[in-house]
Amino acid sequence: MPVADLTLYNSMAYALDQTTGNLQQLEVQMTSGKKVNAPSDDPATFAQSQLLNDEQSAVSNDVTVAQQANAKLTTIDGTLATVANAINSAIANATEGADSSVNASQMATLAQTVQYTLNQVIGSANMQYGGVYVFAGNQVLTQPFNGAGAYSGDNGTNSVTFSNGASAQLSFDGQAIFGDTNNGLIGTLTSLVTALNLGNHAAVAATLPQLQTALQTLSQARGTVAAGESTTSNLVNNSTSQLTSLQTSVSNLVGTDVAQAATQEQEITLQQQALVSLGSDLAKIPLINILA
Amino acid sequence: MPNDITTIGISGIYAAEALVAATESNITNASNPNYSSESVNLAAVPSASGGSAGVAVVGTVRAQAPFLNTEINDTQSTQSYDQAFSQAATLAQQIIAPASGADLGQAVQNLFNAFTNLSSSPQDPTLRTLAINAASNFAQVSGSMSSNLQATADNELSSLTPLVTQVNQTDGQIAKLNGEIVAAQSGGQSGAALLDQRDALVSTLAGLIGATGDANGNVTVGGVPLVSGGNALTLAATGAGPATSLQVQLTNGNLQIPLNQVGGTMGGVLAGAAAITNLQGQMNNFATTVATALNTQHQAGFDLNGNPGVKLFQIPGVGGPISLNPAINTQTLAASASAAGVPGDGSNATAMAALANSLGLDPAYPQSYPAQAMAQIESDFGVTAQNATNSQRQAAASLQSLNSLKQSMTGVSLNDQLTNLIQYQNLLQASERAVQAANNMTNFLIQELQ
Repeated sequence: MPVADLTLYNSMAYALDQTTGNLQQLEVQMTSGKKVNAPSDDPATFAQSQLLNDEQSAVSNDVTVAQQANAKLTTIDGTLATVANAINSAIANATEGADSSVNASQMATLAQTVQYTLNQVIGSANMQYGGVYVFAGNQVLTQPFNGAGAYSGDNGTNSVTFSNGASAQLSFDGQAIFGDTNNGLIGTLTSLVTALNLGNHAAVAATLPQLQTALQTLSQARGTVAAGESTTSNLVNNSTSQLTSLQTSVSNLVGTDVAQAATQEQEITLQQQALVSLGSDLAKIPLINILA
Repeated sequence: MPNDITTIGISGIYAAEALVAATESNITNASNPNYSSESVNLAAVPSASGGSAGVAVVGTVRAQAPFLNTEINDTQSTQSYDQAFSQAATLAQQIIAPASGADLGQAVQNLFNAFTNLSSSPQDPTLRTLAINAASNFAQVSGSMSSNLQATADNELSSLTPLVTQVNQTDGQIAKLNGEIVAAQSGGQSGAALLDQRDALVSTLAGLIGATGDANGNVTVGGVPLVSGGNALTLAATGAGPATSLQVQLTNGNLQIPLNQVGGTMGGVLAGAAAITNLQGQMNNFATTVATALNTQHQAGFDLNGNPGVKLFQIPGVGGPISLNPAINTQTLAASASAAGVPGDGSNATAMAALANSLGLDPAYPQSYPAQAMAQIESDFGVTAQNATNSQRQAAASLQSLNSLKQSMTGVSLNDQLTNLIQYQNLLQASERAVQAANNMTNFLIQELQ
């Protein structure tokens, strides 16, 4: 089969086009650092990387929210620990006041101490974090307890739910934890102060089981807080490794192997140089040019 | 006897001159891709005595490969179609999956993230503002993608106008050439150069619109004539947007070209615009269905004043574009599930964030979460674009092979032509010597007779 001269040039130009196209594609991959830059490069891989990116975004967001929630819960737990100490102090005061050998003057001093504890508890129950009241139920913008311990919050609670379905409670029903003027911890401390001021040893003794109950209630609340702390802490720890794993997956899926790409680029450049050299040699091939 | 030799020699000179002329033409046009190599047909001239009276030039003929021509035109049509489609698809991909990664999927994910954040501290004005901004961004990204896709489809279709002009100019040239070829051939000429020009123009039409031509220069697209002998019919694009069609204007009415029969660049442009419009529909449906679900959930909640939530997005109709409801602000964002106007309840914000894990939000993808549906839309279009690119590469490779094959049959090999040239020079010299010999013989006889 005869070979027309034009065929040689066309074939060389076609091969040159191919290598130029391959080189351009490689340069895009090396510039972007990604071997999949558009859905058509590899539709299945592209879709997979998009899903991984979305998951990365959700997990990364979870980490931020969980870190903030964890800091809040740690502060709340610290406050509740202070309240627990206050209750134990009140129990000690009540135990002392229940003793009939304690005189009226000593009872009055104990009453002052318990009143201080009561004020401390009410102060803790009005705790604010990030400008909102933590123990006001969902009425987070309203101070939940007045000076006497009357509750003006509600019994709602609010939780944050993360993308993996885990949740942590971030606001609490203050009345359920601290009671009010007549009930629970605040009510009991109020009664204790009254009993101590009246020098009523029996009434003082009667507050002891109520204080124990209040301590248990507080302990349950601390359990809820601790569960939230644990959830958020685990989420932060697990998500950090999950994020690394997701980043690795995305990188493995769509990342350019720079060493491989550089080798390919070198090979293609060599091919291109060979073709250009061939192109200049083609002009010498016809006998007519040799004999000319 | 000398007369016979002289006649034979002179006929040989004529033949050699015709052969050298054809070879010169071949060498001159060696780099012309539309040129078909020429050769000279010779025939022996019988003498009255039954011997040979020399050689006659019957005519100049061009090398032909009609079957390959048809194949090349078909492949050219496919290659141009896929190239145009691929270019349109690449533009659409850059819109739905920009290199920055800021696609609609990311905007939806950011919106769900914003509601997760809000649920942790629903009264926080900063988080409420961020959630509103994320919703606004989702609507904005959706709207701009939709309008950019629309503009791309429109641009594609507007590129038909110059293509139609080019088709009409080309079919006019073919019709003119048809007349000239008939005239040349009826005058005894081969019309080889004219035939080459016509072949090239038919190939151009194949690339432009997927036209096919016959041996007489009649050209059709999908059975509808574009050139009939010396008459060129006028092609016109009518309608707008997805209703765009192509028709040929006849004296007694117009003939529609079935769109599925339109090949070449115009077919690719039409198919590309249709694919982009379809993609735009899918993106709009996705945005609309997600916005509708968010609206429903938002309306199930309550704002900071305890009022029922209003629609988060305005959805003018199927296909959008959606926009953030102007009534939405930090007060009216319904993060709470309680009518009591409690600022710390983020239950509804949690419910809105949970829509990220809702299957079949986009009914077109009943088994997919929103992020999966978005990735699927992008991936499906990626497959379409990839197929077009692969097909275009295959067609380009086939075209290269077919052209090489055709060149081997109709192209010019300078080495062959050089060999021929030497041979024809020898023929010329031999013929000259025959004439010289006859002349010498005649002179000798005249001298002898004197």
